[in-house]
Amino acid sequence: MKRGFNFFALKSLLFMIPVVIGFVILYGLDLTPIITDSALFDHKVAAMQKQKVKGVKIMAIGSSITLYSINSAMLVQHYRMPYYNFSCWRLQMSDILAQLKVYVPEHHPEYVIICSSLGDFRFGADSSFLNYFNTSLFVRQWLPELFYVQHYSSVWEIMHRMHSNKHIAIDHWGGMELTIPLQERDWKAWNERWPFPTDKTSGQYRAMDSVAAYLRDQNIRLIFIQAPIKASYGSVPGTDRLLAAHFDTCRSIMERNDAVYRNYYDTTIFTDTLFNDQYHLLTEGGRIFTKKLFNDLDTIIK
Amino acid sequence: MAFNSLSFAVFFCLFLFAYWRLVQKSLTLQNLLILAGSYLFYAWWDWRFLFLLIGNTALNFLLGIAIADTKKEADRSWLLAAGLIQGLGCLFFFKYYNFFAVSLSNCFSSLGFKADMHTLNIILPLGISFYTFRTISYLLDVKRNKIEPVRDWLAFFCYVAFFPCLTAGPIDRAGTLVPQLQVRRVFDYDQASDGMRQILWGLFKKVVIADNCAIFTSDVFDQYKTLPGSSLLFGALLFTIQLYADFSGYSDMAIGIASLLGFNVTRNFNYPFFAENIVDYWRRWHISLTTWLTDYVFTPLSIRFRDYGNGGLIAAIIITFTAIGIWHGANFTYAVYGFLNGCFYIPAILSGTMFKRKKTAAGPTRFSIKAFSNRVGTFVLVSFSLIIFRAESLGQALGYYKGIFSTSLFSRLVITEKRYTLAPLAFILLMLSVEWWQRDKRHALQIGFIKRFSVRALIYFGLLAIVLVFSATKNTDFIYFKF
Repeated sequence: MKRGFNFFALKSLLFMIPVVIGFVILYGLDLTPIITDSALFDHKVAAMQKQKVKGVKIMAIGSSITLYSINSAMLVQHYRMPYYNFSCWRLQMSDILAQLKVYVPEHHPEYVIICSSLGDFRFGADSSFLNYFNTSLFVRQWLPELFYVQHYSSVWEIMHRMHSNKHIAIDHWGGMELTIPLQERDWKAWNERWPFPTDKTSGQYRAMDSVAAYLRDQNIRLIFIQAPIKASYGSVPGTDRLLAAHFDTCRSIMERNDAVYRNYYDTTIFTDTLFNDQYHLLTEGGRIFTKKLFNDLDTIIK
Repeated sequence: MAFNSLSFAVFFCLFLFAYWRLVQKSLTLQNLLILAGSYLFYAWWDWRFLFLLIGNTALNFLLGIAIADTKKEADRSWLLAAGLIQGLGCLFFFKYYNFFAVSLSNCFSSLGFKADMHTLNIILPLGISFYTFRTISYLLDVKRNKIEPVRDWLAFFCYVAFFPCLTAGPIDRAGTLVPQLQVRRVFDYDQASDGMRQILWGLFKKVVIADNCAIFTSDVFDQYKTLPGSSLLFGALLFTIQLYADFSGYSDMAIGIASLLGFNVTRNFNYPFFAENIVDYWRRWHISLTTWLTDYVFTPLSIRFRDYGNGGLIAAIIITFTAIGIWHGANFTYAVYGFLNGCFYIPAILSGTMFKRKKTAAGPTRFSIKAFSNRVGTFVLVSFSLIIFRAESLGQALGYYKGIFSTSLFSRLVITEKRYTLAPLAFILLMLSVEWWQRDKRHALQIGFIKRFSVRALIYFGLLAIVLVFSATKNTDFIYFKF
């Protein structure tokens, strides 16, 4: 019997089935595809897809500062509203803007919380996030396995990335606690000062202005919190002036756009023992931060 | 739209369906679809250069007919000259203009004259070297009455733009491809299956071997000043493998894709690493280019120089190889690479062994130390000449050679990207072993002799698993795209 094209096409399709099953298994095993340069972001979008996160009313977004500062369980228990922390390491204001433009129409939040520090104004935008945001919502929600092919990475590379990021442990609401035992602390980072401002800082201030304006136009309340910084940072001569200038810029941008601005740079409450390094709060610091947040937000979030 | 991209996979699946399901009853529709698909494939990269391709094709189509219809030999020669000037002129302009402008300017400066030659911001149109050689060979063959001119415009346009071979060959002659374009293709299951197998083997070579090797070789050539001689030697050997896996992988995919459309295109590689001498090596490497230059450059030159004995033959071979080198690009490194390979022929010419061919025995053969050492020697010689090919400049190549032939040659091997280098070594061994076993076949995955389907399926899935697990994440462009 002469075999025709239909038979050939069918056989080729059958040969591809184990590959498709392989990708589904990989995804199920949390060996998520490499979509962007951020391992945490890729991990988080897979977690959100599996949890079917939808209709978030309180949205926390930002860099590692937002990620570690807000204690998810406390916040959810206090406000009893759908909440999710979309933050990722190293996110800059321009990245936050790009993410909000995708997440806001999907979730229609009422409040957006950004906890920020100097590090959010140091770099340019990360274009690798576009790999995810430029993909259709259908693929992102229902066919995430397509990312294995669309932004191809070998399984070996995926396993290697998973191994190097095995410490990623996000909670049910996308938050993370920074629990590092004293003996494992990176003491090099303890007093490390990130260069600030950089040549990208003014661009990031403009992006921040766009974030605030965008949320105002969407009738979403933006709550911008200047996160605590370790006391030793301010003790270096000249730093006070630099910090004051940064705080003023952020405050004026927020006030200009009818957003809420709060400054938690208070070295008497947030003492050195609550920090992991100059900028990031440990778990206990996060709890104190979140409690302080309630005091300020109870009149705003209803 | 590289063959190993998702966009190509989607494009080709749709194309294949339309080709064998919607237009299979009509030759004209089949060719129209090939032409439309080829132009879409080309425009995907840069639509502006599509006009150059179309203009080039139209002119050569008309010139071919004009040459055939003209009786006077002198007029035929003028028409041919017009075609050559157009084809080579475009090639010169896009590929070599800046190189010559800068070289001339430097030359004048070294003589004490100030000469600011105007350089242009020119992008090299993808595949221009390949389709220009295709049209030139067509005009030459028509002029020599080796083939009839193609009067069916659609077949000719398809021949020039045939997308599986458009961007990096193989450089098919009109006499091979046009007759296939003039008959309706009927789906042949065996041919299509063989094409799929060849694509899989090509993909394995490209993404598992070439792309992984590229990570280490790029590092070695970038940091050759600081790395020990042992690493430089290892890098040079690995680059030879990378180049082979990259280009032969591409060729396998191109030939496989053409097979799926019902075409037999020219073979481009015949297991060159099993060659026992440099002459044999060049018979097996980039066959479509070397036979092209043999037919249109070496043979006419050797006839012209025949009165000068071996000296004439040496001159013809050196000119041909320098042309092969320059074909690759506008850099002295390519010219020197070609010249050097031409020089490698001299012992064979003087000993009268240049035209002797040794038949390849199939399957397992008795181990011969002599044959093995000849193969290793040829491989090392090729690797050494490819250092010039890979280097950015002659200075870098010289520095690289100096680095190898230093005392650090015997120091501990430094591998910058162990993760990407060590595992692929096993796959290089696999590739060479399979190709050695299959060296009498047209490609290494022709495993029809294995009767049990389950065993064949196991081999396919095994290879597919290797591709998915171990391919390099950072895809590099096919090396020959830039030529």
